[in-house]
Amino acid sequence: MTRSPPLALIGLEALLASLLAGTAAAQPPAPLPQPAVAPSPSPPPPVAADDGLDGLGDLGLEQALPAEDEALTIYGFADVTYMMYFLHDDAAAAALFPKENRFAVGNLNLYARRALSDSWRLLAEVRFLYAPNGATHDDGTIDQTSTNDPADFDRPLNWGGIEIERVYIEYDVHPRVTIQVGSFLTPYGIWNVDHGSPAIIGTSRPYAIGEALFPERQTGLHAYGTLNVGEYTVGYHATLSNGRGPYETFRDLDQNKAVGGRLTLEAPWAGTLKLGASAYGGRFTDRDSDISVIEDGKLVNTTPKGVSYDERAFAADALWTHGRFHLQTEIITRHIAYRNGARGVSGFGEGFAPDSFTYGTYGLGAYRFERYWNITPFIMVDYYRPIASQYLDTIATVAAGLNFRPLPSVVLKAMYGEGWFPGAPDLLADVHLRTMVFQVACIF
Amino acid sequence: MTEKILAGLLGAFVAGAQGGCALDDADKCGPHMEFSDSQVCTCVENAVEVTGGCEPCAPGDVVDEMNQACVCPAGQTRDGGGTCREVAGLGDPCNGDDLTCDDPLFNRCAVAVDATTGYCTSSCVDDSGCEAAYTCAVWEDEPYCRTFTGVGQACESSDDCAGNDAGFCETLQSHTCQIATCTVGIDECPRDNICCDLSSYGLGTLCSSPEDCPT
Repeated sequence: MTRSPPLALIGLEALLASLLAGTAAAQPPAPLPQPAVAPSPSPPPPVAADDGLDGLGDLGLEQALPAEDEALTIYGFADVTYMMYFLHDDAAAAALFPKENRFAVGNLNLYARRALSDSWRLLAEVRFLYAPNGATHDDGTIDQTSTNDPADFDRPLNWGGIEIERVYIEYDVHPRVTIQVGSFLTPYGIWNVDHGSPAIIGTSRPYAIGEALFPERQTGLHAYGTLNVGEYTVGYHATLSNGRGPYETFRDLDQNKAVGGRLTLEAPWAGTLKLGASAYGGRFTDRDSDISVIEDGKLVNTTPKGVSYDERAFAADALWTHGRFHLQTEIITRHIAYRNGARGVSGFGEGFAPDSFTYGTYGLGAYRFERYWNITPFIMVDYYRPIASQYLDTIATVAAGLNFRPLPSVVLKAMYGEGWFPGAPDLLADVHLRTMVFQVACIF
Repeated sequence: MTEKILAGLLGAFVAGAQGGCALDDADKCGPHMEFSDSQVCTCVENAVEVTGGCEPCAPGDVVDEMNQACVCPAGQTRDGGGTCREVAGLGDPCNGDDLTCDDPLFNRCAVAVDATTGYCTSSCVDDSGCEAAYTCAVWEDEPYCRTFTGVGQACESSDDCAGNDAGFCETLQSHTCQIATCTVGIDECPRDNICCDLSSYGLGTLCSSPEDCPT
């Protein structure tokens, strides 16, 4: 059984584009909460928790809100990056990936937060985007969002979009139980929640995080809390959400709720050791809308199956800090099983996507000095096993760099990374992708 | 008690995380599918791709690889009950010499270039005048219902496709025989397919469905 080769080639192009982009993204190390930055995503109430802002707060921008404050607090972060991709002009990547060295405005995120009472809080985070301007398609065309500006004699302007990163209301039910409702970042691992570029040491995410083996965010309910037992702190998270889907923030196409949870333990062992284990189970469905037809005088409604799979994800993480030394690691797995009659196309131009087991892990070590703007050398190794394909078996990256903090609210980063594809057949066997990235990030 | 609960949770976590590791090739695909060397799920023999999976063809049907449809084999037609029946005269061997096409309808002897024998078929105006396994070769001076041999046949090199109409082995991905050297705009391809210019990919021209052909 085969499909015609043109589609196969297009699929290959898409694979390479995704692969190369992902590899480049994988090269930066995982976040390194600075020693002064609380790395825990979930401090106990009543301080707002799990919003990833503790890093920002400890940098002097976001202080704990008073129990009740009628004022709306607005703050955020932004970063600008200079990227250098060392690609030959005739490399496959050069046709699929911007090979030119360039400045890029990356993130411009705005937070709005308000304490509504002693126990009620609201948080919203939006990211302003230039996208879809500049989006490149498989056929080589590039979107340009030029339009006329009616406020300036119809001179041309390029418009962009807005991504709602999260918005939730939370309530302290009990000193050890806080409930969020809305769109929240999935509580798993070390990385996912504290995602603000000023609060992390690298310029982007490890591969296993970037590929979203756990959903990055969910919409639904999230309960969490902590319990102190002597010198130990035990934390928990439980989630109930729409699960993944193309419209997951406002629709649940399969009416099958996803469940997840996380347990953490913080212990004063040789410094501070934090351990975590996370799990998630849900159903993804992407389908067309219902079809209604009149048969024998009756309205008959049919729901297309579309593409649908059940998924289970597990993760474990460890973070050890000892003085100014910092070591963290995560391992994440994901199993996908398609439902009968709802299998997606492979994406490689031929056949259907198989059920799959993917996993990834990374390790990050860093040391923060007191002098020279708190210079922090770091190194990270990243290993990822994607869905099996005839082109790719494994992605491995190594990155090393320096991080400076000239001001509490400003971070400078420089990082060199290299990625390759162990076990890949000829097409990618000898491909090495090298990048050099400089970034300045700040909180405002 | 607490230790037992924690141990149970840890055990469940490890078991769950390891469960996926046990995924072997036989478990990766759905009904009427198999896990291919290309690391994707493809339909088993005599099954066709439909939305979301594969469906088996009825007994006696064959797969039209280019259009992913169940059709009657060359020389047969579907009767009122849906069963494939032989059509007298259609597909009979011929050579224009001692083997002639005597049926008044299937009186054309289609002989491929470099071949000595062919098959009896009929003249046509368009595809509707041919059985499902045939394509009306409207690019010919005198159009007739013809077949394309070897399409979708597994191959490692074009040597494996030699002697077939699908004489090109696509080794980048599908590792199957494809119809090459067609003419864009003339479209000497199986029904519902067009000739696609893939010279920018270093492949020349290949027959493909219109939606799969880059514009």
